[in-house]
Amino acid sequence: MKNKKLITGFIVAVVLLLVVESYIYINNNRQQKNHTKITFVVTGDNFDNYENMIAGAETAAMDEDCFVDFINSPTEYGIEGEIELLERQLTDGADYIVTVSSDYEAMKEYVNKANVSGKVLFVENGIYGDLKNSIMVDDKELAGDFANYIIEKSKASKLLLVSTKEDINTKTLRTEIENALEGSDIILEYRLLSATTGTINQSMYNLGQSGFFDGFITLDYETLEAAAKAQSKLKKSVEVYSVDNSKEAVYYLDSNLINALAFKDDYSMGFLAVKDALAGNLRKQSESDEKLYYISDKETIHSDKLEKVLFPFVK
Amino acid sequence: MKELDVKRQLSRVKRASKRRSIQLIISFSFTIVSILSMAFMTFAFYTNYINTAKATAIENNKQVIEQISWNLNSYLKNMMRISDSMYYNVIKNLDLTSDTMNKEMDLLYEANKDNLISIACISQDGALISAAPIATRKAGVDFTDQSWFSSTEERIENFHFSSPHVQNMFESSNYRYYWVVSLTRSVDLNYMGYNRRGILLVDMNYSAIEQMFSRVNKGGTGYVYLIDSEGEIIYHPKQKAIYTGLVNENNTLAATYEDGNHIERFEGKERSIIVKTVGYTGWKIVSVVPSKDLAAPYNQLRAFMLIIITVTIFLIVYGNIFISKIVTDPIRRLEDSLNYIEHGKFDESDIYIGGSHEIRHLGRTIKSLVGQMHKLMDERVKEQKEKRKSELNALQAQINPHFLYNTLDSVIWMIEAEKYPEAISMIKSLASLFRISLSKGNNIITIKDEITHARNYLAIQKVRYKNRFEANIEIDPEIENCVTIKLIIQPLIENAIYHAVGEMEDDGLIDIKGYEKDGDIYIEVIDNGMGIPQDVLDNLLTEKTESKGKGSGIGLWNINQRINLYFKEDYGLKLYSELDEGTRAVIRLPKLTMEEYLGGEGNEK
Repeated sequence: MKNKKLITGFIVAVVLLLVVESYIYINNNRQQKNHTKITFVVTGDNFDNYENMIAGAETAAMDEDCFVDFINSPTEYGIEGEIELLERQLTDGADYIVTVSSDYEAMKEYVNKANVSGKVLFVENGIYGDLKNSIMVDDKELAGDFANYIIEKSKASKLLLVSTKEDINTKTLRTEIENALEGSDIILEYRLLSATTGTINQSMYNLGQSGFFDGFITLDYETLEAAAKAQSKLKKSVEVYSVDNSKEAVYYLDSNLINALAFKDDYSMGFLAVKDALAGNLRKQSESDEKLYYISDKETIHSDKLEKVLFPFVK
Repeated sequence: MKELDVKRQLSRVKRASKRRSIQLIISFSFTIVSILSMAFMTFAFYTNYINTAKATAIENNKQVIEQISWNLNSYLKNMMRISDSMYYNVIKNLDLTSDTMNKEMDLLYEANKDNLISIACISQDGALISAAPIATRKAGVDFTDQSWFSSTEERIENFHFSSPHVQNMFESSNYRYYWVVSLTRSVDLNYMGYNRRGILLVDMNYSAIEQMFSRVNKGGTGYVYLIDSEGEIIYHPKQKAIYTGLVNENNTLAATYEDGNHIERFEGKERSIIVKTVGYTGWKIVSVVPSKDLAAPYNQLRAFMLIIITVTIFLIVYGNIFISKIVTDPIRRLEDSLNYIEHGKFDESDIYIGGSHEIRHLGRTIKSLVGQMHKLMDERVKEQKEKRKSELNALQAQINPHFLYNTLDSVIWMIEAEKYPEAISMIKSLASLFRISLSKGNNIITIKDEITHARNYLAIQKVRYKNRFEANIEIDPEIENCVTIKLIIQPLIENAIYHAVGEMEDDGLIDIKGYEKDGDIYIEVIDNGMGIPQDVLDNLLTEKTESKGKGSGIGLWNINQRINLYFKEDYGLKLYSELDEGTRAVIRLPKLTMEEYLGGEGNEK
């Protein structure tokens, strides 16, 4: 009778042990398979301008239990489109959202209001040092370095600073360049140009042709492209200094259509965004000291380091 | 209730551990041995399995490396074949002024354009002689500034492979640029019958190499990269991250490794490195797999094994407790039996016999020993009892010489006084007294005989004491044929005479009563003497080691002891006395006829 009790107790104990261990085993497997999902919600009509960022993010995700996805919000939908996409991604189970927003301030306001700051990282478009959960280029430093470069290398006496928009980044760049060149021999003038393709190309050509300015400092892709096209048509070349990180910008520099390029390192930003998200987000301000930009000209574009940074591998 | 049960179990375990019980020793030692053996076997099996798995993974990686090496070799050979073909079939045989060179170069390019970006022939002074596809040299590009140009000039007899770089010598459209690895060689050019030195440049499409490696790097653990003989990275899946300083690689050290398998520690992590050198170029293919990832596919196995081990340990512990309980339970029960014996309970039937053959045999042996011991002890008790009986009987049988002397003196006195009938009566009484005293050596006689003996004694003593006391004997006839021990009433009468009524003037009275009560027989001897003080009375029935003369009380103790020995201890003598009132001695005996008494086990007269 006593033995019967022992055997029953034994069987019950073994079954319980097996159930508990199976639960731990299955749970462990499930946890192992649970990859972190990071979605990049970027502004733009396509991913052409994000090739480097995608490459950086994919490289960072290579050895990790991580799934990286890129989604673009067409520019015509504005910030509302970006927010809608962001909300949908969070609802669909994205662990982290990395956003390149067309309207940093509006997106920041939404993130704070929706109380999702622990899940959203700001990249590229925004103010350096404003948020902990951001990976930004220090536009002030970039503008200062670039202005110093221009002062050192430029032979121009009057330069025209142009942009087609007045977002936070552009404003910061403009202010800092203006401040830096203020005491120099170069006279600087700023003009906000229309973003319409035909208009801007013509405007830039006319400005170059006019001889009022010895060159341009372009602050966005649209003005860069117009300046490069104007340069190729102008009989008398002008100096062109650009802030941009598109492959076209590199091409223009390599083709001598622009003199120097301040290039934001999208690859590193994509890479760091994924690493930060995987490390639990909220990167400390003190750790974000990497210079995420390069200044290159015709002499340095094919240097050992810059060549590999500026020219992504063709696949 | 459950708490109590747990407490009880815990205290049992504590007790068992203190006593080092067999069950504890068996279960504990078996468990330790089993777990150690199992742990050792599991460890050996697991280590062996993991090592084999690691070796297999390394071997697989080696095969992958071999395959890449073969592919890369083929690719490079093909490039060198193109270079050879261009040189030996075209350049050597044609004059630079001939249009045929461009055509031949175009043909060669078209045939291999999947792997080629461009072919160019450059003169020693940096002039572009011919190129395919036909392209415009970029403004400001000086071929002599290119690193491949200078390295080819330095060692003209060899093929030269450059590091990957962006081809930046020719104009391209649509913002396209190409990553290339330049294969260069020094060539002899024919220019209008003169020999001139030039350089043949074959720009291999880096993308072909990249694809070769990225296919391998997709999926699986670890990665493969390619370095030149100086450790400069030619291909790495995280190449750009390395160049931007986001990721580090141990490429410089890897360049010093011989071909084969190596283990290195890099950034605090152990990695398995396989190196394979590519012929012609001195490039090295390096496979990197973190050591922990080599066994990663077996993590599930490890978890499964842990489950098996814990379940097995549980089975072992439980099984050992169960088996040790089965083995030790009979021993414990046998021990309980021995505890009973230890506490004086010699009942053979209580000894447990069960369990295994050995324990059953042990139980039977102990039972037999207890039986023998029991028998020996009984015999010993019986012997002691008989000896005691003999001693007490002998003591009781002693006739007081004074009594005999006085009686005979009284007889002499009667004869001298010619009181012959009285003398005869006294001698008869004395003869009867002796006859009953002897009783043919029997110690058990009927109450009737014992009373007769008492009457004779009283008759003698009354003569001696000149009838100074009266004696009444009142015996229930029902008990006359019951048995008693001989000579137990006479000493009581003797005590009553000597210590009570003998000294009185003429009103001494001794009453002797015999009756049955509650199935037992009571014989009382009552005197009306001075009584006995309580302290004396209390000591009268205790054992004395030596006689202290008259009134020592040995006789009374003797009576009591003899009754106890012959019958049970319930029976015996009791004394009651009150000062100035008298003393009452009560004998209690079992009511047994002679037949009944003799029918009892071990009883004899």
